Amino acid sequence: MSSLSKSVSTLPSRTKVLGLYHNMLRSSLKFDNYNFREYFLRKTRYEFRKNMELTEEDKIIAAYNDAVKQFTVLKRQATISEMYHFDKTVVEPQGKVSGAEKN
Amino acid sequence: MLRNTVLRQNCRLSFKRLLSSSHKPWLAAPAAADKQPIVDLGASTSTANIVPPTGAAILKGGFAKDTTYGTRPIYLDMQATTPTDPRVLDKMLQFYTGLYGNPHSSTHAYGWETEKEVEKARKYVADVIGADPKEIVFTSGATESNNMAIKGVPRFYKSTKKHIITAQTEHKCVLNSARHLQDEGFDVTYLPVGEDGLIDLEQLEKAIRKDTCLVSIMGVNNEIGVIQPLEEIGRICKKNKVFFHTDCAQAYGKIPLDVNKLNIDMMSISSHKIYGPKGCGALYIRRRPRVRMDPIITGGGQERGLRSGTLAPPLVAGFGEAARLLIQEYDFDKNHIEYLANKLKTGLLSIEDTILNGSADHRFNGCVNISFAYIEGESLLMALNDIALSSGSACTSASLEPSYVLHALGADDALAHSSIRFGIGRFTTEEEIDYVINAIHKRVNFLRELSPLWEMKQEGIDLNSIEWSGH
Repeated sequence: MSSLSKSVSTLPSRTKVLGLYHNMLRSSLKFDNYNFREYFLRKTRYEFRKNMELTEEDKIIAAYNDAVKQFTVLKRQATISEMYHFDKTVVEPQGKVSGAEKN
Repeated sequence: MLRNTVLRQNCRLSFKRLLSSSHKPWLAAPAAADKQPIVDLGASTSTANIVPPTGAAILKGGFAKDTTYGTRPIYLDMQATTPTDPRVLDKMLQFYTGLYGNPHSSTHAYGWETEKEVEKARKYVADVIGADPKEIVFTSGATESNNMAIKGVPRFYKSTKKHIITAQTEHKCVLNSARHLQDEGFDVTYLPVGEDGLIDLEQLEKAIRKDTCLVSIMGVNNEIGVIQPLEEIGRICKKNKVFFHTDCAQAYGKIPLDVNKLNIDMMSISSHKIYGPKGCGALYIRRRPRVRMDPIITGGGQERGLRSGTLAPPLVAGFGEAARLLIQEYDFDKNHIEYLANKLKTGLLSIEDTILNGSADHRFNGCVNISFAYIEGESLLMALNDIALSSGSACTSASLEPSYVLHALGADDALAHSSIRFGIGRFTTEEEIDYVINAIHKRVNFLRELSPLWEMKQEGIDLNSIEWSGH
């Protein structure tokens, strides 16, 4: 986990990229707020899928490092979101994380 | 008004009639409906302090709530304010934990570090509209920015110029600033708008006089979401050498804006409409050719002397981060909002006798304003207590006064009363939109069944032909 929150200077391996992807999805799922959770899940999936098409090495490194930066923010904010609880919205099933079903 | 009174009285009658008859198909559980405190409700409507029925108890028969789901309403009022993006909060927290220096303290490192962050934020805010960071002045919000521009510029040039032009559909803070100037002896022209909510450019050109100082027209309307032709207005203003101010609180970052291409001299911006913190905004003021103004707030001479007072670095940095994210997420957000808005529009306009308010082409997708004929907007809002909506701007939603914006469009009282604004944003999900479409379909039908006007319409009576008797 710790190696995943560090930026790289050489091409990251496939496992490393997938590891970061899963960690970001996991952090997104931790958001207590329904709208933020759904947004970050949608956004993370979109970004990684879009960046799958990158071929140039420096672009891949830049995208990876950018994602690492976003991951640290996401991790912090997911933790903060867990500290403040509000009622669930009318589209959210009680006591269940709706985003989890989609994984 | 008379029509409305009639509607309300008859509605109350038919409400009771409906509730007393349990054979109606939409009252799913007659036994449960009998248990509701119907009589209490009927009695309380005649007293002065009416307590809205919590959970719209009387409507439960029409649509039973699913208790396996949460209770918090869906937020669809993005024109009032937007939720603060967690990434913005992450930026702001630094300033509440470590970076507490005064950005104007130039003698020590605490001041320097916050100043650096403030200047970074200024650049991000300027980048969205293609401006120079030096042209951005931070304020407490778009209301202050509007006041500053509309009062400041004419006051500075008052020895030679005495006239300003604005539109009838502007935000209240623009209209009230203009009224204030009238008291000071200025002339104000309030341009009318067409049925589509857009101003007539020919009329604008005709309204410009020799002593016209300022034209103020908003970018995106906060109630109906129409986009005014800023480029053409900018061109007219430049040709006539008049300053052009635009209130872009709703437009900033949501539609492409370039102050140089559009010839904008001043632009009001708000932070909390772009997922930033509340209590912060900015005014873009062109430097070349220079726009001069009398500041409203004087003091230590911060912000080029135009807005004295210590800046709030947490808010400013949050605003800057929100602006940076706007550029970064522009396409992603735009496509998402467009997809949801189209879904919502087709879903709701498929109900008969609904009207989309404002121009269908020149509009920002995130704001959908629809009138549901034969229903009062307030009663629909009450029935829709699981969706956070507004019938117009937040400023007038407390009163029952119909929207002046819809009035300016030529809508009659009844239609202005029955309008609802749907605001879609970055964090709205498809699931929510599906829920809203379904809920509105059900409740519009339910409320219309209660409406004697709807009954008459179904019988083929033209409502305009009726002569309502007076009391």
